Amino acid sequence: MALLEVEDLRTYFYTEEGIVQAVDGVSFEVERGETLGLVGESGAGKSVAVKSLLGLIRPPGHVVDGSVRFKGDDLTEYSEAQLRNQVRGTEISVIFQDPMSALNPVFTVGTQISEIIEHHRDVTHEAAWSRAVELLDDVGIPDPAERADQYPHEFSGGMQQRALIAMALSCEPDLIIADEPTTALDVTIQAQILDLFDDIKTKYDTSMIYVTHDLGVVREVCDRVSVMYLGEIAESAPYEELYRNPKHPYTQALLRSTVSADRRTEDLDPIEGSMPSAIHPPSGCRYRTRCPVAFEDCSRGEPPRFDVGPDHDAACLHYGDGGDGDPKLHETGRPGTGVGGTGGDR
Amino acid sequence: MSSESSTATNTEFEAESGIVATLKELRYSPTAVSGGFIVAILIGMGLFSTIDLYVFDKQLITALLADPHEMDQINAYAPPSASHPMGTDQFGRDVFARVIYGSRIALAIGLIAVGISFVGGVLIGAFAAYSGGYTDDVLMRLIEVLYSIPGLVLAMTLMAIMGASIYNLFFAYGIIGIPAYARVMRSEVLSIREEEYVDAARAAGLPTYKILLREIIPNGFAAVLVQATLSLGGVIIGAAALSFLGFGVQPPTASWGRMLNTAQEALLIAPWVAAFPGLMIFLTVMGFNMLGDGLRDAMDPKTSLKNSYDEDNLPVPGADDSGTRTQTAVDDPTSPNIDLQDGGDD
Repeated sequence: MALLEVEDLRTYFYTEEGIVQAVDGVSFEVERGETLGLVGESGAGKSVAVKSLLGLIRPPGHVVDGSVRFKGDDLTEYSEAQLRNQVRGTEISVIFQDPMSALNPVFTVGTQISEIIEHHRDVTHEAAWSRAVELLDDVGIPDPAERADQYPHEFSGGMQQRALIAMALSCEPDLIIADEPTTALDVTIQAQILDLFDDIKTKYDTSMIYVTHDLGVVREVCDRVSVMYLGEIAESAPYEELYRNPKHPYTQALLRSTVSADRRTEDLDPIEGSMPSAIHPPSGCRYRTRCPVAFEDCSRGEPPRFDVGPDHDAACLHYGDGGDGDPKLHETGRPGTGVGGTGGDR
Repeated sequence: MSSESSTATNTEFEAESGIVATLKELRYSPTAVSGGFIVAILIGMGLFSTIDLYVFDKQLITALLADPHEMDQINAYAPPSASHPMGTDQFGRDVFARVIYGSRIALAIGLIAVGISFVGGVLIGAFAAYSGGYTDDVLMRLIEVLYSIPGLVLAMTLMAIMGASIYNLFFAYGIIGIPAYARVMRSEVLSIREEEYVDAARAAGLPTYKILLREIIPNGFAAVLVQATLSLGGVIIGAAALSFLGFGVQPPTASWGRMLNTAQEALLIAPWVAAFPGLMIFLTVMGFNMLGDGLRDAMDPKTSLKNSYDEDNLPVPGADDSGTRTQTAVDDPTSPNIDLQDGGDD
């Protein structure tokens, strides 16, 4: 049994403009010790999906369907108090995107960490404080005893992120959700933080869900990757497989539009258009409006997730039986297939 | 290293959600300094009379001036002289001594009534805004009902129901002050509750009351503090008005409003009996308003001060300070904070 099994999760926001289907039928699993990357562009529903796991969605948002099985128990059936006392912070903790605003400016860093320990564990204030100092040491903050007595604004951005990681580790959770933790940091600090994630994963023996829009970062930390598009999972695979052999047209397009040092900007191939509104998503496959290889059937019904390789699935009709008569496409496994690769069957 | 530690000590002032920083700014405002001076004299008078009354049983003031309650019918309505600097009233009591003793009552009413409104308003406003939805609607509509009744009328009604006593006066003025604080606090919290550190606290499993008391209220404090100073004057005037009308403080306790009330009978033959308590009310209200105005002005740069760690564009805190500091320096080029500029870059 996997540590976390999310099945058919649906989180809708009931706004005056209509129902925003931010997360619409998302399923994924996280094994013990594994790091799952949740990748997608802004507005794909990544953050909403992970916040839904912990019941952190505020009205007008609601988790309307699906189950979140953590160690076998369905978290969607937990009451707010149960989530608060038994799950949040102790079993699953979250590291937020912007370290500058995720720390309370009016209390010292040590106070904020020890407060969480004191709340969840039956320990004295002194014990909680020394644990906080230990944690700060673990996440690589020099002079942790002194630093614990300082306010967040006296920390650099990287330090603040380290402090947040210490806070997430404070009750030794089994699963850490990192919601774009390095997006607000510059690349050198980003690399340090990614190294730190590797260290703490071994030291604290935790699993992780790593939310990001940066495919380069995914390569550093993730074992498996799920690519999200407009509230749905487009493709899911171990990361090496996904990089070598992307199947879904969206993943292929994403990889082609990724900037890297050995690639000129002229060679980039950005995805045309922008993501449609989640209030009135396109019928059928949600990517079809921007998909270069979309065909008639794509507008009829959501594509199921077809197995396209070992532990690899893609929600694209090109890989289904009722597809386009080119079911061999995935077997040939052409690496980094361009538009022509999947598009030859039009 | 030495410059780094000096930076730390300098910036430490801004850590307290801007309250300490604001108080520090105050000394560059002549208005606030004069207001503070008046308030300090008042507090001195209040402390003196309180200590004199309870510790020395009016020995001190009797030695210096005269017993404020001692009648001397032969000397009734004596004009100001060396032995009675402010003259005497209709019973021959020393007006100066009574004015000093009256400051005790005025300050007590101001502080206790404002304290009640402050605590009540802050809690109600913060809870309403944080809960949102129907809780917010119901609480705020109730508060508005209270707001729609003229303060003096409500206080008189309450006093008539509960009986005229100084404790009921505290209570009545405390209650009618609540709406103003609740509204200010609510508007602050509406923006604070969207901060990431509130989300982080929820994700860490902290209960609502802790989030309110530790994350939300301390960050919204500064604005309400200004409201408190500004309304102190109003409360003191209101209490004087109630005493003047015969509710509130009962004779023979010296209170400025009550003194005015009795002085009106002899306004033409002994104007000093009315003039000096009236002048004290005027000075007190002016002192508190000037202090409050200064506080409010000092709060303006606070928004930019606060930004220095809210903004997401600075990897090292302090690097951006030069920008925000220049804004403040426009108001007061003598600001000692300027040494932040060279200290903050390392």
